[in-house]
Amino acid sequence: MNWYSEDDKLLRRYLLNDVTAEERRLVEGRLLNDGDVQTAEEEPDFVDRLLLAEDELIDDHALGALSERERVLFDSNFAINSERRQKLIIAEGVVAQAAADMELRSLNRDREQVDSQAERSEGDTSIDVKIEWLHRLFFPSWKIVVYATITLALGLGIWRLFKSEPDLVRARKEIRQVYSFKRPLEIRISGYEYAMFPKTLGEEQGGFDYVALDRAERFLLDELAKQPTVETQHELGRLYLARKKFDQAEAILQLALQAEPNNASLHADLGAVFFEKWERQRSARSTSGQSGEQNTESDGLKQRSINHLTKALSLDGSLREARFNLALLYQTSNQIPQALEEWEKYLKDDPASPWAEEAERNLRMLK
Amino acid sequence: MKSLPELMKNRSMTEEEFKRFLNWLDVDREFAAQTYEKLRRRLIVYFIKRQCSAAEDLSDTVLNAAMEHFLKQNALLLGQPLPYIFGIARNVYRQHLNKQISLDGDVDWQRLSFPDFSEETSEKERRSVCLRACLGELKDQDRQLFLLYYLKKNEALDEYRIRLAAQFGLTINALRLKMMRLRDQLRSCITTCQQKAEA
Repeated sequence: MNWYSEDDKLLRRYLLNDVTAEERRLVEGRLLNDGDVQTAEEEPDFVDRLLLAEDELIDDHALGALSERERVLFDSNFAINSERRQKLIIAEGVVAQAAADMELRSLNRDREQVDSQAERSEGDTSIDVKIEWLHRLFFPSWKIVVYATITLALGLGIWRLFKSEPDLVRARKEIRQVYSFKRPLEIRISGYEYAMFPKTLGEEQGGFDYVALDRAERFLLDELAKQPTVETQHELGRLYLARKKFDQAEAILQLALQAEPNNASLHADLGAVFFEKWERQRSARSTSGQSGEQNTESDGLKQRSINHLTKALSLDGSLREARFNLALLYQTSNQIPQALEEWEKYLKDDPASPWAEEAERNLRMLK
Repeated sequence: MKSLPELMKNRSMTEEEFKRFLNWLDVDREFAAQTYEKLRRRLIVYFIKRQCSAAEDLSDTVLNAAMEHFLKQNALLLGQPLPYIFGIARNVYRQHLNKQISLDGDVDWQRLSFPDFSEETSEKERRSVCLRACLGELKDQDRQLFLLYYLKKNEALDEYRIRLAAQFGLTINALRLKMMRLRDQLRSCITTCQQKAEA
């Protein structure tokens, strides 16, 4: 059982302008002539299939499920009219909404589990004991007044403590706190302070306060639901990147870039996302010995990373995160002259920070 | 085969403009005229299959709109003619359906009350608010299916969609057609919502 029939595959290629002249004649002949063929209600006819193929190409693009070749053809041959671009924007919005919805569902599920566990343990106490306990707690009646006063004072205190800060600020504080001792990735994420990167722990490194990170993620999702801004999208994108949720990071940063296409930091962080995706695909390939199409796809990721990082630098030549990541990318892909050049440029701009020490170490190693 | 004046009946364009339009359909003049006739017939069938009583009028609406777009814009930006024109047919059908209140359980978007937008609300914010409001208008089960369909997965997308169809008791084709209907509904709703926001 396949999702796409041979007709669907042909129509996808036709829409992407990736067919021979003969295939084009065949498709267009069927589009104009197949209408008289009776089809079952559930069976789409050829024109329906064309419209489905168009929708599904857009969906697959929004879901990041197109191959690199299809993506290039999509951009150059397919998404050329405003209606298709509009449909793509809606599809990307739905993808982001679906991810946010699922995050909230999973958080609610976790909370319900915690609540039900608490209820189960309370259920073990007998009713008589509960009544006696309540009696001692609330009588004589002056105790109720004291409790009410304490509760009110505490409530006010907590409200002042938390309500004075917007969700975005609270989330940012939580995140910076968690990543203040060590950082999760070797690349630089914009706005994150320096923290060491323990290379030896490799991919399985842990030790981050995931409860605080979950909480921060929830704050950001709440904030986005209340008032979606590029700043919040960017913060969530950075968090997804740090938590290695690369697809989600890519989606949300792309969304933010649609609103602010000339935001250098957004380009730098999206470049970092593609760098990490490329790096993982490259490692997986070298482990399994795959080649061919995966090679092209992986090269595409690397190229997209370079494009975004250089775009960031063209918009803001002093953006250290972008320069650092570009140097690291060249170093990782063994492009030594380019890596040396970028590290040297980095050190000219940032000669004395802890990041500079790492840059210097890398420079010495390459020399 | 019909002559050029016969083909141009009910079209508000000059002969020269009409020839350019035919040339867009097919560079070979003779085939282009045939293609035009076949296309018109195919559009009528498209609307008849969707139980539209005024199928001929609707197909003329489609062709007039296509010609108007063609004359106003660079043809290269419209893309391939047949997909472009069938795309217009789809919009015309959706608008036709929206005029018929609550047909087949569809929602009359014009009657919905959307959130209030202040003047400072950006286009992106409006789109986002409209998207959420419109998702909220879908039936619970449809919304659940819709969002699950758009959920990014680590597994192969085809396999995930096939499992999703099974989970909702649908065949692959039924799920694909249902998704197409839901997408159309959502797009109509978002367009209406955005128009109201801009008004």
